[in-house]
Amino acid sequence: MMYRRLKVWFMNNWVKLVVITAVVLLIFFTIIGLASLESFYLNLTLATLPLQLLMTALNAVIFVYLYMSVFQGGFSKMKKSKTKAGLVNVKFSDVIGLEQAKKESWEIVQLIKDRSRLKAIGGKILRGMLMVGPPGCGKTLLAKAIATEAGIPFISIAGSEFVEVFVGVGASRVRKLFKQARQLAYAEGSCIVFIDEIEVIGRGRTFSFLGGGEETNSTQNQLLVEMDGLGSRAENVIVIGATNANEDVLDAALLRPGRFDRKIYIDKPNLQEREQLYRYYLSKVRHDPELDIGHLARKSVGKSPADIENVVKEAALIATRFGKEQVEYTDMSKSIERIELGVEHRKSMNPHEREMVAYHETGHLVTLYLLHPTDDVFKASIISRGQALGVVHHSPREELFTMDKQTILANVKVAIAGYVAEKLRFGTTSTGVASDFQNAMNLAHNMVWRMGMGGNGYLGDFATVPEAQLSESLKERLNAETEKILKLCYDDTERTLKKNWKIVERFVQELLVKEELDYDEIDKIFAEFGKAHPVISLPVAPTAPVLTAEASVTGPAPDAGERKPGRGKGTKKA
Amino acid sequence: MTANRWGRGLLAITLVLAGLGAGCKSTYSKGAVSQAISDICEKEYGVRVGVQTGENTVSVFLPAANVLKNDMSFSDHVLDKIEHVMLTATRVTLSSEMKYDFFVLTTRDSRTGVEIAFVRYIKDIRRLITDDISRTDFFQRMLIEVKRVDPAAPPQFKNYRLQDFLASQLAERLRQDLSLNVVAGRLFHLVDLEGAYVVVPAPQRHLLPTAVFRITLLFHPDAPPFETMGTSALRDDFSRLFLHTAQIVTRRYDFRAFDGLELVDRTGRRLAYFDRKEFNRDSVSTLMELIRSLKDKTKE
Repeated sequence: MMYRRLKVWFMNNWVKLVVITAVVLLIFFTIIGLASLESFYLNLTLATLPLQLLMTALNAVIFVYLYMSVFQGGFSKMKKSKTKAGLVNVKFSDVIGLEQAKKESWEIVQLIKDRSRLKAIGGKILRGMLMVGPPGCGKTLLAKAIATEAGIPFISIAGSEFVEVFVGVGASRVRKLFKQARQLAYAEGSCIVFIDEIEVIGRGRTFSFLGGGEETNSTQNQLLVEMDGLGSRAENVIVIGATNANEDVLDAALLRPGRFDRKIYIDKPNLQEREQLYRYYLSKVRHDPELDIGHLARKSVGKSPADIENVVKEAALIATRFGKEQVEYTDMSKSIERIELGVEHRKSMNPHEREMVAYHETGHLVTLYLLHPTDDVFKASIISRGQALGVVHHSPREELFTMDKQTILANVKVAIAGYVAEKLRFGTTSTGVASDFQNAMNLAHNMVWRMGMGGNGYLGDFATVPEAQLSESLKERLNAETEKILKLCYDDTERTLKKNWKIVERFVQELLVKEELDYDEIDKIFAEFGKAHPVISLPVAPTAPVLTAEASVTGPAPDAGERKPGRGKGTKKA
Repeated sequence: MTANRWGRGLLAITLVLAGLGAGCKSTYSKGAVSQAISDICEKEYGVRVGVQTGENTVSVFLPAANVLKNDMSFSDHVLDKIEHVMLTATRVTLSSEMKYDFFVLTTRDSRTGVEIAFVRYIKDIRRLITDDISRTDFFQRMLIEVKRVDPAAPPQFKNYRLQDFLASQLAERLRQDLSLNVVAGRLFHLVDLEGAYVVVPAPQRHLLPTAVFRITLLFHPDAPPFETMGTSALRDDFSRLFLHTAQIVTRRYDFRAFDGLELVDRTGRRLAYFDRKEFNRDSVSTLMELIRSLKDKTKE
């Protein structure tokens, strides 16, 4: 192995060696030559030496640099990103959560470490592994952990580094990358090449009828060839790709066995993993030992490890800003709000506009609280943040991976509730409802066109069918169903708000005074009216005759007597 | 800085110091100059020379046959030898521990006894090598002394002084300058001139002796007295020629150890005298302008 390492080192550095040897010899012979001169001529030569050295250095800077940059790699030269396993130093224990992914990765590590067992059976070590998942979930970290645990070199590169203005540079860089990887594999036994954002070069190839294609085609073709093309590859180069995009975005040739043999799905952490992450990141800052990490974890549904790290970082900054010694729960809370809702910037609004915003947000708040089956309201605010003049912050109580019809309908109702509240109070509405309508329209449209949740009985994803193949009457009927859903949601929301108008007025008054209300304050006000923690039941499997069209759109009305799962603080009767 | 960079830097400094250090010591020690010149001339050029060193002069004697051709020009083979010996002697004197001022190469025709001495001021050689003076200027600064001696007589060694060298150079330059002016020679009946650095004892004990460059003008035996030659203005301009040339020579060597320039005739009678004030005054005219002025005035 030592011989191989020396050989690879020599192959990579022979130019430097030759240059250094030449320089040393030149200096040596210069000294001998100078020594043989008589003292007057020697002094004369030495006196002009500084100027000669300066001119030589100037020449070197201009010409040698140009040569090195153009001929030694030119446009396809890449920055050195080779790393030894020891320098990466990320262990599996440093990767929080991702138990399933770690288990699969551990198997790969064992195979890399002990190839002989596999070879004895006649198996082949896998060539590639694809990690798919949302951003910030630990794909790069897991790849580093694999490299560290396996004790092999790790080359990291992003997909965008292959893309250049000039055609052919991408393919050239792929060749250079794999050449370097093979050299390292030859010297060290194996090598991992980690390509982040692989969808940049790995998305489905396009072929124009004129015979050409995109430049990334050639880059991808080269990648395909390097991974599993003609000619057997004795060196073990394992390619790990990471992408945020869906698997079907990538080219089928890349995903076939023999290339990316294994696909690992890296998902967002669940509740336990979020707790572990909070514990891990909080251990790096001084924090209140009484911090309720479980509560933080429940409040962070849908957050990735990067998001959680960001929350802790932001909380530390907030604590520092207020001159605190340690991070407390309030800092964490403010941090989550700041990240999710944005930075406050108070605008000076006239009282009428301010009141309109208060009614708008109250409409969302009350509808959400009373009608939404899965989400809790954490904050309501009429302080402007970003583009929005006000905000109602809500998030699910627990991880849910699908949305049922009732939840989607509730989302539609919450979306249009702002409009309803303004209409009820002022008889008119404002431009603030535009984004809400967009959201509501989107949801209602998808219900009918994509999910078969319309009342007319049409099933299927009509959005995938080319529009020209749909009849006008079908489109009309589908759109009418969408309109019907919106209308029914509007009616339901209006009914709810009218029924609870006193609560609405109460909240408006509170918001106008305090500008912001958090979870506990909201709960308290609802409790004043005996409406705290309403039970919103999920639909049950029909045993009775088929429901009417109207009932199937709106779903069963909220019934205080029915029990439902999933409310964060346990099931409570109103 | 990483250890690697420190190491490389240290290596570079060591090499540079080693190189510089190699140049500090002189190649030829005090007593080794004569031997070195003889050895190098014999080994590298196959020329046998005699070398003698004094307080500030290195003298090399090159015996040769047929030094001059019938037309009084140097023979080719002698010219080559002179060149080789000069180069060798230059190398050695410049690189010697002892700082010599003058280098003299004397060659003697063994048949006719004509002896030619080339006298060079070593600082002039250094200045030529470092491109401080032009080749033309350098050749003008070299003294060539020609005399006839007994071919069998041993070579004479002479220790030169700068002031004597300058006086001879001044005389030589004046000969060249005045040779341009045929009119001056015809009008003033000047045949030749000699230059010397003379220290005139003080007339009284409490006074300091006076050091002057004395140019002895050798007029034609039938020439009238100098005071009657031409007009006063003409004589004045003629004398200024000598001052101009003396200014050039003394300034080029930055020589200040003199009090004036004296023009005398064969008998030692002073014809003109220029003190240091005159020397320090910038020349109002160039040599050519002076010569032109003389020409014009002669026509008048």
